[in-house]
Amino acid sequence: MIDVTLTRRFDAPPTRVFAFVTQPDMLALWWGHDGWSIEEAELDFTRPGPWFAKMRSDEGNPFHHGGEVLSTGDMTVTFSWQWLNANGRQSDVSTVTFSVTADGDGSLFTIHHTGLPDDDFGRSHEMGWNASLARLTAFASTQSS
Amino acid sequence: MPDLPQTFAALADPVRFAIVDRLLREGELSAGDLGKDFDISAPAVSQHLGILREAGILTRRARAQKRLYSVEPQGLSDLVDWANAARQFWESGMNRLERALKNQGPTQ
Repeated sequence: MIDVTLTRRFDAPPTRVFAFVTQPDMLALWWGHDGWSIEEAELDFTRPGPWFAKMRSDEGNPFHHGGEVLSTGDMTVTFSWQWLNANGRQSDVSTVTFSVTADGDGSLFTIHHTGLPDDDFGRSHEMGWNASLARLTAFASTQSS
Repeated sequence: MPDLPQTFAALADPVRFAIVDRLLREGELSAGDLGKDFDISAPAVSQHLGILREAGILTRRARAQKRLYSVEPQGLSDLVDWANAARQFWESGMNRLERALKNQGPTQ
């Protein structure tokens, strides 16, 4: 799979969930793996501009990533993402989109993370690419295990 | 060792993606067979196959007068690793977000 999509329902109104996934003090409450701690961060998805988070795993390993908030809209935000190492060397850039929609008296929060640049990604959907990617992933998993 | 952007770039083209998709379903095919799916010249097909081989996604072997192409699983494994890591990161985040929403008082 070239892109990863996760959707989860939360028992809270969309405005509240969206605040939790865009505002600095609230992002700090949930960002990262269990047991990871944030040592320094500029996690603000309410405006275009840079973001980063320096974290440490429970085993003491540093993880530093960041990028650029590319666009913000009504209940949606898109940002670039890359891992950075100690020398500032950068991994591949990928793109993440958060979106929140109403679902009854709750909300659906969707995270879409793709390794493709934005333009290519839109096109990939027209190609019905997700079904093929599922096949590709299944194939690669069986062969490499 | 092919890098991830190269893998993504190679697969981002509709013709190349269709080639890989067909090979995943049908196994091994010649350039001629693969070209029949598309309204493009043989050199163009050949160029696409070259990019896919360069990215480590396809392998080629010669049999009689034909060159047969198939998918190289190793070339896709980085992609699968990348997707797994991203999924795990966000799954964890979603779990913690769920707790944070509950712990931060009643919804208004």
